[in-house]
Amino acid sequence: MTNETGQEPAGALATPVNPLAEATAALLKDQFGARVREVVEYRGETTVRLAPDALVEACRALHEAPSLRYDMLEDLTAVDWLEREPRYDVIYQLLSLQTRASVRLKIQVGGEDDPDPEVPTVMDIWSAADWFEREVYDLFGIRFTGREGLTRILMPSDWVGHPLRKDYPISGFSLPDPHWAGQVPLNQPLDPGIGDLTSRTADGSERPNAAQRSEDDK
Amino acid sequence: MQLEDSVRPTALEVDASERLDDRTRRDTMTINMGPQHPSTHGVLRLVLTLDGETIIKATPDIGYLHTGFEKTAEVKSYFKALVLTDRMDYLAPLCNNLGYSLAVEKLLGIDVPERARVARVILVELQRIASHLVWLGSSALDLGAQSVFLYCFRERELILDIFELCSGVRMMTSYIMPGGLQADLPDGFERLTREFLALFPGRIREYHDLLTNNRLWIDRTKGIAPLTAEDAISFGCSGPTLRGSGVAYDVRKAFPYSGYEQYDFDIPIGANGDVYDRYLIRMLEMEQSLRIIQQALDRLPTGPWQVEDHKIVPPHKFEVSSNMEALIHHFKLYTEGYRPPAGEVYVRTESPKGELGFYMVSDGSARPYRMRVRAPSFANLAALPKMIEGQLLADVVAAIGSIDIVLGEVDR
Amino acid sequence: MGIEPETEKTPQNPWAPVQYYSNTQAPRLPRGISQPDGGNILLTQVNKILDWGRSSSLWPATFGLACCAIEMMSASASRWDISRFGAEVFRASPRQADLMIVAGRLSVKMAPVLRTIYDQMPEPKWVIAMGACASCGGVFNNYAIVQGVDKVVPVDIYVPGCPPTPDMLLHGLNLLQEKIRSHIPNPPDPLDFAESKYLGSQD
Repeated sequence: MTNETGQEPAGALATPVNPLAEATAALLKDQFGARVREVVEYRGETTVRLAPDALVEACRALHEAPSLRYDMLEDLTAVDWLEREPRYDVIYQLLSLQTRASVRLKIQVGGEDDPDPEVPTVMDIWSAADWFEREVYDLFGIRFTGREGLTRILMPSDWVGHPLRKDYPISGFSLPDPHWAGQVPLNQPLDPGIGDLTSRTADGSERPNAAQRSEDDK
Repeated sequence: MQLEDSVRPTALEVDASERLDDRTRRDTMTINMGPQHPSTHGVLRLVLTLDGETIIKATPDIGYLHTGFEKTAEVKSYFKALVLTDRMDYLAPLCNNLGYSLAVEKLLGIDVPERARVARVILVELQRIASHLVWLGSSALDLGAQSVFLYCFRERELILDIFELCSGVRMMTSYIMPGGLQADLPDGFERLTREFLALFPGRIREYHDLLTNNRLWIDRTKGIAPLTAEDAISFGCSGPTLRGSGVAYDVRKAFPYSGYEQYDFDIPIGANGDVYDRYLIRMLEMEQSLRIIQQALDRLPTGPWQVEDHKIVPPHKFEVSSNMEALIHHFKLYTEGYRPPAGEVYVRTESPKGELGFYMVSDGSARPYRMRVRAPSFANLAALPKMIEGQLLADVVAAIGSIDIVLGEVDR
Repeated sequence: MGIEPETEKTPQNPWAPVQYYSNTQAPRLPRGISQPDGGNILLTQVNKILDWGRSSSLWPATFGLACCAIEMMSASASRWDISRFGAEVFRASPRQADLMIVAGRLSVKMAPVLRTIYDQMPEPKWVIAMGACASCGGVFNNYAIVQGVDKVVPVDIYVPGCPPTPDMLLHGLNLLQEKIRSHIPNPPDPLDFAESKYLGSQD
């Protein structure tokens, strides 16, 4: 099994090194100084970590900078690092259709004393942020301030909990069958952890097994 | 269906001199469309506020097909999470496979052999045609053209036969995997694909004859549900929805992947951003896909179709039963999987719906710490209220058809 | 020769008798004009004709949820042509349908909708669970997906596969026709066995 051409093929790595990334990082460092916490290059992609209070200003600056013009918000999402402090990464993937520049902004929020963190909205810069922010709120419980209509978008409106948090069991909550209509009834105690793939409960402790639980109930 | 009391004039308020239709004009009506509706392409629900037949407010309600892909991927190994991606955009599973594979390969820092790269392009372009055929058939069906549906599905079966020959499955092939392909292209692949290439241009002409200059079709689509370029960009639209508004952005040209920079093809763009433009763009894209497939078939090299590293791709079954090392690799791969270095990557590819992005975060373990899918339909659907507000109720189905949403991808 | 009483000939039904009253509709008789104790020649023959007619003109409600819906569309297109079995009239309104092909995965948000539409279908009615997700949850053993539509509606035929090919769906349809002709009742309604009282739409 040898390659007939004999040479190492190149070009499969999707995004080439972005020539405008350095300009972007320089612009942000210039304008925000120490509020730019970190600039990371990994596999040809640039990630700029910002202080949360610099986010909206930075987005606006990048959206309006004449040489860069980041006119599209490609993606907005979050990552839950359960044991880290601050707990959540909120990720903004920006793209400029005119210059083909692309950069990733990142802020870190949340933590032990701030279980439902708040992040300012960027909806008035990019309309796309509307649904993306609602999705992040729905699945992670991160609130976006300064905007209207921050409601659940994917889960039913009466759902309890935020599924993409790492302490949410993958199989959801233990409910009597069939539990398809709505989620947790009001008088039903929350009993997280029928998930057999993750055994952590909502408060982070290990889940007692079923036998133990029934003994506890007695 | 209900009347909003707040805007309905009571008897006392009505001025006697006011004409009747002035009074009725103030009444708005809220109707519910979906989630079980034949023209919403799945389980989309729209809450429409109407003034007469004009839509004054549209609120999409999604999530009726929320499947928890992103959560499920976190408990599967990289090797096994591949099958989840098939089921997201179920009209174009191979395009999802490609996006996921490229993202994992980027995390691993590996590169696939040339044969795999060219074969991927052929398969993905075939898949693009198949996806556009389903779109064409179903959106024409929504607007009352029954026969187009039958013709489109006739041609789609030819493509699915090719996929079935390659992988054994018609739709959910998982044929493109991190590290190359699941298996080498089979013997009849090139012959079948060339037969399809010879046949399909005539069939595209048939569709054009049926629709493009059809008076009824033009009346239902031209000038309907327009979207300006500024709005399209602001909402993060991509694919034919963005290009219909006149923005020439195609990931295959802007950020070439899998060797797309070596092929000669054009990006059709529209001018008015209406339903008709989006329709024409997809029709022209099918022709461009044929061009790409033709070029790729001509350059398809022989050689390996997977990387040599059996930590990433499973060894051949024959080796497993005769070679100790292969057996260990097989066991390790299927029980534990491989561990990419910690890091995060975002890989964008052009799926038939638009820009499909995979944002993968690895913490150095054998499972993706986070797999985020930037679904093109999600962003495109967010722009739907902008398109249809001020339009007529009957045009909503045309607008939904024209942005070609797949709810499996919107809701994930 | 001679006609034996029907009770002795008929084998025991595999399920207990179905519920006799629908949740939302007029009182429901057992399938056909059947007689509890035996019955006479005329009525058994009428039953056979009715069952034959019902099995040969099933009208499916369009209930495409996910991937399997595309294969369901393929089954109705020209290559597979479900109309050979009299089931090509896909009805958008559940009031005009008597077969529900649940094609795809059912999320917890969609489940009340599915049940509502099932309740809106007139008697007699049948359900085919198409695909692994509809049958048992498939690969999605997670918080969002109902692990099989048989937790929500009684399912007559399960068609495995991910997605099943159109031939498999047609085979499932043939089995359902056989089931109707041999007068096998629907399985019991899962909601009759629900432990809890809080089911139904909660808005």
